[in-house]
Amino acid sequence: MSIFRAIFSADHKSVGKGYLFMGLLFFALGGGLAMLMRWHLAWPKVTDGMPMPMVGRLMNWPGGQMPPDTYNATFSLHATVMIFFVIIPLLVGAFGNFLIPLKIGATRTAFPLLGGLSLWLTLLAGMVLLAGPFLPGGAVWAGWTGYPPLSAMWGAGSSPGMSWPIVPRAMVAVAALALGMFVTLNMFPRDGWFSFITQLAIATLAAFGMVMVIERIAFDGQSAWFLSLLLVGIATVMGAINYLATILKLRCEGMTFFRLPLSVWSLLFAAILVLLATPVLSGAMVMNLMDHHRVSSFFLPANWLAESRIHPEVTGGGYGLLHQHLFWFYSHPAVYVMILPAFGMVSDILSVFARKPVFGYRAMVYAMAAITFLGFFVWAHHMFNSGMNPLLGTTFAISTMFIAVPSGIKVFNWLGTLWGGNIHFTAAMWNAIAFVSLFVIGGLSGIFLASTPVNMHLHDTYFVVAHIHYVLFGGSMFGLFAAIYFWFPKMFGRMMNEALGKIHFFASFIAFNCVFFPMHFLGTRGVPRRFYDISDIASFKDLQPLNVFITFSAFVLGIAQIPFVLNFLGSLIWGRRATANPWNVTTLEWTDAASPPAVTNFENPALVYRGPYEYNNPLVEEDFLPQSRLIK
Amino acid sequence: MKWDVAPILASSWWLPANHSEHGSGFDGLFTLILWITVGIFVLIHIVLLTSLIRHRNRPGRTKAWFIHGNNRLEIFWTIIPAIILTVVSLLSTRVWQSYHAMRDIGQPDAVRVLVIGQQFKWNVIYPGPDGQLGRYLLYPSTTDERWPDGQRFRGSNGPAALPQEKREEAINAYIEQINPLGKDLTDPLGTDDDWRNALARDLVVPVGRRVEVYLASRDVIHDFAVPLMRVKMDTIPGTIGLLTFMPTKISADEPGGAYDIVCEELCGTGHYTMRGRLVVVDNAAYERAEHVMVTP
Repeated sequence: MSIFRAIFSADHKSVGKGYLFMGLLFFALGGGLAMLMRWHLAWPKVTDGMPMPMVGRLMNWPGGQMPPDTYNATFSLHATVMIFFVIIPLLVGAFGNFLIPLKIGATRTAFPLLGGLSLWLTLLAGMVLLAGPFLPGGAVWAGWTGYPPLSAMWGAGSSPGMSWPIVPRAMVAVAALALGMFVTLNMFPRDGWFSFITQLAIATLAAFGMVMVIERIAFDGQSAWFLSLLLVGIATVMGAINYLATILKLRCEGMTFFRLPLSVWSLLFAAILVLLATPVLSGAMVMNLMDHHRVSSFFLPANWLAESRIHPEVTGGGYGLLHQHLFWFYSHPAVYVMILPAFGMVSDILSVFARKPVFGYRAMVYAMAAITFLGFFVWAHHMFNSGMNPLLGTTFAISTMFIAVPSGIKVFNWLGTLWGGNIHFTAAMWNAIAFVSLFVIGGLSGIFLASTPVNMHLHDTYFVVAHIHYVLFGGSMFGLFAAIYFWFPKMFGRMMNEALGKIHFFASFIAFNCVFFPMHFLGTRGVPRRFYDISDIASFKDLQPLNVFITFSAFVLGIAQIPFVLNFLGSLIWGRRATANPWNVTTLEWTDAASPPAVTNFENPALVYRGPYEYNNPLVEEDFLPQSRLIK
Repeated sequence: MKWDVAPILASSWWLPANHSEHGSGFDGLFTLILWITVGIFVLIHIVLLTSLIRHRNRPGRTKAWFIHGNNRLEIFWTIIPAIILTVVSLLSTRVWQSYHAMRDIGQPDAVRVLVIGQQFKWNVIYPGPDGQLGRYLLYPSTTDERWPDGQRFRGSNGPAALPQEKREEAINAYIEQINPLGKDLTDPLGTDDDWRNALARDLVVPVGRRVEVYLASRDVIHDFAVPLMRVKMDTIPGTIGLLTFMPTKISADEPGGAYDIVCEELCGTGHYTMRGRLVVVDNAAYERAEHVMVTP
């Protein structure tokens, strides 16, 4: 039973690690989906003689070729998994939970139960999403943006009230049981066989109820997708409340706001964004679910002729653009939720390995505040060609352009941090430097898309695909790799292998650019995204060889993750034992115990005397002056 | 598996040719932004690489500079990007406004055409000699007393006269056989519209005249995009959008004799097959063409 206590612990460190493992598993899944997509795009026809290996036969696809509806499901799931179950859970969930109390000198988070609940609810949401492809109506088909009325249609052969097959039901049941166990074990913390059986019984009963409700709500892949996003939204809001309360109320003595490390600042801003934006997404998802069940028509017009038949049950009068406004009102701030924590962590890591204070600390904080604020006024730049009043585009173009100013401040300050440093090239540092370089490309391509006339040509083309991957893979993912290499010793008490880390980095960096940079050219030519096959279209067919090149590079990028997996798993077991402060860092999580004590986090109560980036301070002999060290 | 580098390098990576009046302004803006961003990219990477090389840790180097920032420098690199972005914003706004000013002018010689998207084809409806389009996408409801064309269908005067369980099926059959676009047959403006063979036919427009494409959809959101005309707009079911452009070149020289119309908004399984043809002809050929004749 103590093993259950360990798994379902509400301690912020366990929750953070739980998020890390879950996020990395989903990362493998999302990456696998990307490989399937790339294979198909390089050889889109049966006559190419390159049927998909294994998967094609396993799925019994005609000629081993992925059918168009499966392709639509693949990219929809890839994006949803990567955004909602990899980047947000890893950056905000794993590192937010693990780092915030340790970095601000708190013994716990403000609401440990809420923190754990958010983890297990995210898992449940993930299982609901993955159950989708097994449902009678088939997998999600409307992309990660889920625009109605396409998303309001029903999967072939499905209708509300259908019962689920055994596989998805079991997946959801296990996750629901885990959620129930977490709640009962932590709400009634009593040991002994009798109480354990009681807790298990209550959890099983609750899980049974949850599965019943979920089955009623989700009856095809698309409604499972809506429900999954609703649940994951609730989970991230729980997490955000926890981080906000922790940062605002539990800072240790001496830890003023302007002594907070930038990673904590960035998580604070990310939490504000989540708290203010996610309810809008949740609202939109509820409206979509109601439309999907045909009890409302928020987004469905009168005289709707979907699937070549009338829908007398739809009263009509709805407006499809409303969904886009609600969705992007969440999803644009969500981009900043996915990039701000990476900004903060990369700032920390650059400063540590350049052995130099962060250049313009306060400007960095104000820049993040500006991004947070402006982030709420740019959403409709996703909708310049959506049929929205085009003159409204001007407003959003200008606000979008101006969000580049604080982003530029951050880039220049990172350069200022590196300049004059004493730079140590560790695996973490390489990833952090790559983050700066790749984020610059992603940011600059954003200027093209912000300009309304240029956007008219580039919107919904591969240029956008290149842009988001430079921001979210080149940015968030490389930032995440840096963070994992950097904080792994603190999380697991062992070092990761530097040589494997560098192989992983260089292979990923080169392959990443070979995959995503050519997509700018595809987009410039006008090749639409989410396209099953371009080799028949006169305007684009000469670009097919470039597609093959991108696919080969994507396979290299996929293979390049193997050293990371080996390194991560191997270091858990065989890694060199870490000392308390292997990187000579100044912040609180490194300057106390080697492995943070389970309940108290610190061996001595934390006390802070100065800012977080005192590297090469002439007051001391060593090249770092910890926040907690008293100088007489 | 055959693969070599030559065909990759042979394909063009630049903007496709532009054959619309407004497109040159758009492309100019693209080129301007490209130069600005390439300049910024090169500058940042020179500084980045220099600092990585010059300030790397090496034997004999043990200390880094101890500085926390430089207000003057930071103000400089806040204001310079702000100025550049202001200029780009103003230029974008100017190009965008001048493009959209086109549709307010209401030129008398403008050509109007209604394009209705459906999974996975485009319907093209010409206004006929009066140049005015009628109303579309109005389908019978189960409570209607009469069929829209006033004729009897399936032995009834209207859906309401049929038994409850047969109404929906009858309406679907009516739509499929008689009125797939839900044309309002009572609208006097639409009596001369050419709408009967609208499905998947060429969109024919004259060169050098303003084209007003009205955009609608029967089912889901599609996107009417012509990369060579630099135009793109979604079709939202339940609303009518307006897209304007002026072709500057006839399409006879293109492969297939037409510009590709591509759907650039995910619209379902057959999304990638949803294509149309934009045929641009000279004015005389346009006036002669059959599709502007009355087809009552």
